[in-house]
Amino acid sequence: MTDEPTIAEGRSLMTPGNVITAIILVAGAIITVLRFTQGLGATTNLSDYNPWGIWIGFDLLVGVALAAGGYVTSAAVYLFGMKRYHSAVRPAVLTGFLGYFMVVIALSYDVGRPWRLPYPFAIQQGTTSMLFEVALCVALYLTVLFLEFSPAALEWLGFRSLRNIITKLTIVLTIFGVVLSTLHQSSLGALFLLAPSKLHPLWYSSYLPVYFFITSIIAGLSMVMFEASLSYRFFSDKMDQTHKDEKNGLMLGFAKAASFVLAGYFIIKVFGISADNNWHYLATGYGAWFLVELLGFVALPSVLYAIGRREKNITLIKWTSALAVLGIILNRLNVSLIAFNWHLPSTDRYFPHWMEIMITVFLVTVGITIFRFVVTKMPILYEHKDYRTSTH
Amino acid sequence: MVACPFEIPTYEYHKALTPRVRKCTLCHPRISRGLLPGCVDSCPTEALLFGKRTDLLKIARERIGEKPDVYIDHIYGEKEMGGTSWLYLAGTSFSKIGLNENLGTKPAIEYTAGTLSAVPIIVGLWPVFLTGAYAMNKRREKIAISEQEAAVTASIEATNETAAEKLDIALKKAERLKKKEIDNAVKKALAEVQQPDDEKTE
Repeated sequence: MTDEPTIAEGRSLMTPGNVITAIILVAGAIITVLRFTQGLGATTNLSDYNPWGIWIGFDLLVGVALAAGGYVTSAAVYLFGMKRYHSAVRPAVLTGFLGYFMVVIALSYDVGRPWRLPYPFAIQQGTTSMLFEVALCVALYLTVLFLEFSPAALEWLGFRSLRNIITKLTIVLTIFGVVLSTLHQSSLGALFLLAPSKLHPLWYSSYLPVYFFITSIIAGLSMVMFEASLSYRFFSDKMDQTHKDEKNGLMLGFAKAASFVLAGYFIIKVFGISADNNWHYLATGYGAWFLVELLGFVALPSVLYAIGRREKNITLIKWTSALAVLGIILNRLNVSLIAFNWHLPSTDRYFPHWMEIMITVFLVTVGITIFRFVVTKMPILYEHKDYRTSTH
Repeated sequence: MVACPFEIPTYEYHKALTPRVRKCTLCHPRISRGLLPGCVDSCPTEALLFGKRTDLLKIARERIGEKPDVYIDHIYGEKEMGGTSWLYLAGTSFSKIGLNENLGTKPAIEYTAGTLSAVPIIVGLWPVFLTGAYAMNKRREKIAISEQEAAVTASIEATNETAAEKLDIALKKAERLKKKEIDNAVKKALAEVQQPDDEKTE
């Protein structure tokens, strides 16, 4: 699935980018074999103290948050009537689908026996388990995203009638997608509610599920803007005029929304500290780090988005979206790794093995390669000529 | 493993295909044969005791009562995180022997109970709210379209009316002009007819 197109490209196009991609894919394939023949002990720095590493902290938590653009954009356009951002739906849904797909792939590296992933549905249901909810929602939402994405693939393949049936389901799928996203984005945060003694009090809060859900909206909006800028630069030849015309309006509109949501998030974070009366921790080292996150990656992007919107400065909005995306990555890593197990001595703390980092780089590369393939082949950044002015 | 505040469960990191998460079963196979757990059986000073939780708690309280100077007045595990099946007595503070004293008495499952109880509410109410938002926007769109249509028809009608009025005026004007012309022609003809008569009478 992954090596074929790249090797073919490598032969025809020996560009530095393609060579690096090929090297990453080969290295990733080798470590994949090691992981599934030698076990987690040989390829990771995971331990009994730190059973969750970057494959959970980055690949899963960050991956799911950054894939939120799918539900945020489709809800804005189909449910809340923001039709002028319609051209952003397909790239956002594609990113969402690929994001979740890669999350599930990453999860199969991390769990001990990936072939038992369907067990929660068939053999051991646990309705009081947080992980059961996560498993159920991710599986269902991946299906929803697949269906939401499928019209583009069906137009490409020429299955007209099936495509028309699925586009009729758009509204139902969008509503279902928002429900499932609300549930599992928040339940990923709720997983950490179970470890009050391990997560630093500044990050631990009974509001964690709400924080995770609200930050997923910020991540979704920011990723759509970030990606629109990148696509505009790298896939300009694939874009139709509507897409190009709507791009600046999209950036301005989403920047305004993201600025508001960031401001709201800032306020509930302050409420969280007040509710648990954790002010005294701010004077510690972890407190300084917490303030870096809260001021530098929440308050600052909120202000910059507002300025960018007010002055119609697309470049500023573009860089702010990158800052906000970094902020989401930082937040998820803080909760899952940096502020987690803060009570342990440094010798028992976790730092990723190079092979773990390599697999993460590998999976991101695979995701981007598939994205490139789909965007080049399928009607994502332009409307298919047979289906113009359709409502999807 | 993440949730256990005592860091008890371990994982078979060396196994590639059949790793398991493991923890002490208190020698379940021995217990079912009526024996004591291995560690209790082999402890020569009876520092470890095995029995029903209620009995053990009673023994622990008796020991603390008998030797209040030796034991700290606390049974670790009686209430921590809802109570555990391992109970400890100690002559020194529990944190000194590696036990977390700030765990609270709430069972771990209660920390997520609130979030989980919100699930059915979200499943039930989100679709209602979202369908409502969709319907409101759809209706607003419909109204906007019909208003636009009405405005267009009204302006067409208005244009038509003014056009008709103008036409009417123009027609009347033309009619009047024609009438005048006819009148003039008649007058002229009459005048022409009268002239020769006058000449004749002269």
